[in-house]
Amino acid sequence: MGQQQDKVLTLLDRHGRRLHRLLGRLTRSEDATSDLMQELFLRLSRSKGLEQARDPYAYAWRAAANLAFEWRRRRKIKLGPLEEDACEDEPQERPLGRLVRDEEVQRVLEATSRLDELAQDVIVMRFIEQEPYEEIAARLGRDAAYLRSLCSKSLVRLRQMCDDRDADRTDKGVSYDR
Amino acid sequence: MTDKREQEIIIALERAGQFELPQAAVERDLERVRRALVSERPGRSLWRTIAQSRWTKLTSAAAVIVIAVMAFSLFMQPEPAAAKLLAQVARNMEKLAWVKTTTQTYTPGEEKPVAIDIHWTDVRNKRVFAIYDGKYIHLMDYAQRRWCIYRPETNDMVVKLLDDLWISPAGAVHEYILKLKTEGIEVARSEEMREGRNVIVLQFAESLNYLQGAGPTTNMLMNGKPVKTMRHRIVIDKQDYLLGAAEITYLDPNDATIVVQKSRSEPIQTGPADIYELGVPKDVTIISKVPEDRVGQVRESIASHASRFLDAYIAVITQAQMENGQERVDQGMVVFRRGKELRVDVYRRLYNHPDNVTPLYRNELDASLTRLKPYWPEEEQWGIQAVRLYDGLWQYVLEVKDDKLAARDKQRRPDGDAYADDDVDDFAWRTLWWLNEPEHLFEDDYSRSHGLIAMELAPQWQGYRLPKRQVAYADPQKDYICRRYIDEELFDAPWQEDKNWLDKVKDKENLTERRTVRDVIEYGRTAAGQWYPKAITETGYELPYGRSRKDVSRVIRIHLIAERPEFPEGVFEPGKLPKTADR
Repeated sequence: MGQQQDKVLTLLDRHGRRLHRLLGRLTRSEDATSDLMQELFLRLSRSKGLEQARDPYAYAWRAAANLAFEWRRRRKIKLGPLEEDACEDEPQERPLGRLVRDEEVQRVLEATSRLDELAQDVIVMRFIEQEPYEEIAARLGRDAAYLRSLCSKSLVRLRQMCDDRDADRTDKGVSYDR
Repeated sequence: MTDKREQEIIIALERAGQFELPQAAVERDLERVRRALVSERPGRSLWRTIAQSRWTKLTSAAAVIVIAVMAFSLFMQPEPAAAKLLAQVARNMEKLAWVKTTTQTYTPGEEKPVAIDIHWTDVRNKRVFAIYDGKYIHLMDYAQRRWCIYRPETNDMVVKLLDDLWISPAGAVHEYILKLKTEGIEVARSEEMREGRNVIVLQFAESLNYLQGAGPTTNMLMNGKPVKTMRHRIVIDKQDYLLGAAEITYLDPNDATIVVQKSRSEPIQTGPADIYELGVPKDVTIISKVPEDRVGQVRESIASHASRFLDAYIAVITQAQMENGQERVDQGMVVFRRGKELRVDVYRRLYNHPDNVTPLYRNELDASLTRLKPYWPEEEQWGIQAVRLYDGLWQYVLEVKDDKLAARDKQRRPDGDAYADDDVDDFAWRTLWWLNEPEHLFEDDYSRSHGLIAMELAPQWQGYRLPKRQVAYADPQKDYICRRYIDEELFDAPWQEDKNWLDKVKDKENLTERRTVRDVIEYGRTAAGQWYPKAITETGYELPYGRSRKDVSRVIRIHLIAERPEFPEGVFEPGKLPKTADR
């Protein structure tokens, strides 16, 4: 049996759940998570990078985040509201507030997908995975103070991107209403 | 110190961190991945054996598209009341491990089916086995991304990359609901008794676009005729809320029936274990068309960098002929890009003709006219040629005809705008595709001396197309931009296997040899530091059969004039395009 295959199976056993959770949180879609999980391990099993990686989990984590953000950038259709239609067992209540909040989460994730890789990593580790800066610094091999500053700048960038998109939507709404 | 808006963003990110999928879904996915990895091990891997086989010509397996069409067509209904019905159907479909679908195809005047196709869908392992016409055996393995096609005539099995994304039967329900919502397709619903069972019947029709400039032709042909309309009739059994029968009638532009396909689906406990169980002989010759892994990685890098390019900008792109060492602009495009939305106003040199058209639309074209003038100051030399607008789903095209702008039929383009040379991304990142995809990387003097990654695609002669070759040299140091792109169709092509191919072509005078080489000679960078081409030279020639050669030498200049700008009001709105005459 190939060493690479062994390595990937070990990775699956040890960290599969964490990687699955990451994909789920970044895509918020069960179907997409399932597809990307397959895709992730298929790639890892054929990747020379994993073979050379000092920390296989860190390598797989980055590959998973890449896949999820790539999926977000390419995604043409939002399935959110329809998935809700299909969930008959869930409470029927669908308050506007919940929709708005969900839309905000999707919008922020989409904006995050357009950040640089390092900024993406820091934002996801800090706010989605709730890791302390020291832990992030250790995982990324960077200085914690630098990452704190990068995180702060990335938030400003996210705000700009989200606000730009809001402005576009407002413009469109006004013109359609005429 | 974060402000209120940034706090909201942090809260949204934290909310994303609270999302959890059901434990059952996690276990299911982990198990599925484990099975796929184990089946990849040496000694058990069909793919590993296949990858070492020789490479030859591939035949089309268009029939497989039918299964995709069927999968899409099996579910729908737009009104809100139907959501529960469809949700129920989707949930029931999710529980199925295998589905067997038998499809019979009828042509007008024939009582017996002209073809019978059988599909076995292995839902858990994302595989579809199929037998077409009783003899062609296929396996579409979405988990392994492999597509096997067995041909009994030559006793060989072609294996190629399967690019399509897996859509589970339940996923297809959701996609179809969305499609109906966005396209406003009307669905008629009725209830009736059929074979002693209560069933719900859903009926609707889909209309395909005509291809631009090709007369009443669409991109779907059946029995040599273009399909204009597809009428669907779907039956859902009220007892188990599963899909039972489906019927699709394909109609030509005159509403005459071309073909009727009748399908019946049933859940089954299990299906074929492998493709050999369906009748593929063990001594089959395996022909691998699977690209090297490295090719896939490079293509992904190219796509990834392309997707990161500016999501909003305004640019002017000019194309000039080289005459006595001087650039003579003959086309100017003003590009407005906002996310998926794209508006391109195309202007052309008039060659001493009076411009009777542009003045008619001066107000509607003001946004592009004012932006083009600094880069093509000889205003009296050019006029409007076309306006193209893509709103993220529909493509609108206006073109000059009889001294007016005339509108073509709008086209539905869910995969993107229709033109390959419209925006900066098109010039910067090249995706090679022609009936196939590149299978290997290579090195030559040019790639070595410039540190580039080269890949090529070289299909054989076909019909009235000469042996064709596309080559792209991507620059990994500059965001994988395509630094050199070669597109050639040659009479005497080294890669053409059948050297006597030209003897088999009847109307040789319709053939033209051509070669184009595009080189980026100047680069620019966006404010965020991403590279893009600022100037590209294009050299080459055309050689019609039996006639003399005509050389081509042009320069394309890309002027990125604004990043994430405030766009002119209404520039992306179809309703604000110049008023036109219909074509």
